[in-house]
Amino acid sequence: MEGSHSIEIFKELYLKNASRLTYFANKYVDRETAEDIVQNIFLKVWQKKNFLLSENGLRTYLFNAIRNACLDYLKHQSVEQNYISAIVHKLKVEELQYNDHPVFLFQEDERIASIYNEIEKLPEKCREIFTLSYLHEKKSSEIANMLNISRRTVEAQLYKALKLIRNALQS
Amino acid sequence: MTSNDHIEELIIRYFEKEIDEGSLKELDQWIHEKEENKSLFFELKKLYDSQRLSTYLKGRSYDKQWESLYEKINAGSTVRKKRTNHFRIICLRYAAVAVMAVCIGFGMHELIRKFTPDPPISFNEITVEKGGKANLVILSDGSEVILNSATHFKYPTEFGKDKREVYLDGEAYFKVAKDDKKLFIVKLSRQEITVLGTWFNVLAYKEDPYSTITLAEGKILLESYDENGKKMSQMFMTSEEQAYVDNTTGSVSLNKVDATIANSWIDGKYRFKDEKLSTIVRRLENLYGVALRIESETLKDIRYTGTFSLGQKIEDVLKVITSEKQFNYQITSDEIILSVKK
Repeated sequence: MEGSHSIEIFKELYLKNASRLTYFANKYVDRETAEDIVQNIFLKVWQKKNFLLSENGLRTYLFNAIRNACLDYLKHQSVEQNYISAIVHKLKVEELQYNDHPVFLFQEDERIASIYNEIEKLPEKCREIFTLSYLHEKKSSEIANMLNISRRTVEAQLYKALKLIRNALQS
Repeated sequence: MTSNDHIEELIIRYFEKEIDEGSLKELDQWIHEKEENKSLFFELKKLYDSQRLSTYLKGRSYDKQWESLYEKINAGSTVRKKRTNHFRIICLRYAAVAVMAVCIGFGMHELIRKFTPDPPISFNEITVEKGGKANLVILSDGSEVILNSATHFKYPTEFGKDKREVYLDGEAYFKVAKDDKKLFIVKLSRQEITVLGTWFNVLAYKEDPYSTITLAEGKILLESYDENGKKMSQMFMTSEEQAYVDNTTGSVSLNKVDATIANSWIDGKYRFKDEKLSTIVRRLENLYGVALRIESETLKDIRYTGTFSLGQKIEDVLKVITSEKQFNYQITSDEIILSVKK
């Protein structure tokens, strides 16, 4: 009976965090690989009974595991011999190395909440363009067409929005 | 200035995965020109990507993936059955809340917590319901706290630089990890306990008239306050001492005791020595999650000494008690009534 209880707890932990970990991995590897990596991590958590760790311990464990698994995958991935993919590959590894703290994974929810706040404070034009990009996932070229402005203008406004939000979050 | 404008464009194109080879080369060079550029680039990238997390969290459920993971677990668990079972006996009684604490911290509902740029003090709160089992919580400093039923416990996800503060309403057994530089402070509704590292038991429900603090080993500082929050006493307790504190007046009486009696519940036993039936009944209510009512005032002050296992049914416990003291019990749909035997 207690065994079935512990599987319930483990399941809850999995359902709460699988999407978050997959999101993180999918920034660096394809979706299918990301799903596999996450499954393997949870399999280990179960086998080693790591779900008994303290909250911080578990966060650190999950974050390190997902980060190392992605790095490992990128390092062993045979890079196609074209220039673009080689640089993109290198930048992904650097990005992973830059994002080296569990808050990057577990405090994103809070960050997103404050990002929404900051979007409200953007200058009108900037907000309109950023909302189309960020919330509606439109590309600059599409936004330029919709609003009948140049692509350069859209890109400049998007950059401005990102920078304003970043500065607001940092202060 | 003009070159910077151009970089803005390249950055956005990279984020949108619409960058050509020449531009990518240029962007790559810019990123590695200075550390500052690199961190700006990765910070903005993180911001740009963050929206997708909401999409992921709201998106399709992971039930299917769970099923395939569950199959793998089952396939593996037969091989390791022996080890797993052994582990269960020791730990799983305590597992539920340890993991619940983790889940609380992870949940999207944590959004309510106000965002502040400085590292905020965020708390985990654990409530063990009436009738719930004892639960182990391991704090970030390695200290262990076992919570009894009907208990509310609050602690920061990370301790501050100079002290470790936790809040308790109910009963808990503390095994505090030693750290001479960081005091460990347990805040109760009317008392405060300060320690460096030791084991002790606290029985302090805020609606109860008395709190009981029992020290197994070492030394602790006990401060008590009256109902208006005025400090009434401050004293050191040493090994095998028990403080009985009046929550209204803040007065403390100190006695030498066998600390294992107060701590017995962590091993799944409840021991009481010369305690009033009214006190025992309160404990039973919390441990079993039932309502008990003593009909006659004279019964309330009868004293009793004994031990029972938390695995026993409440009827069996009452049978044992009533075999010595003369009362009847009647179990109704929502309470158990104790009345004088005629």
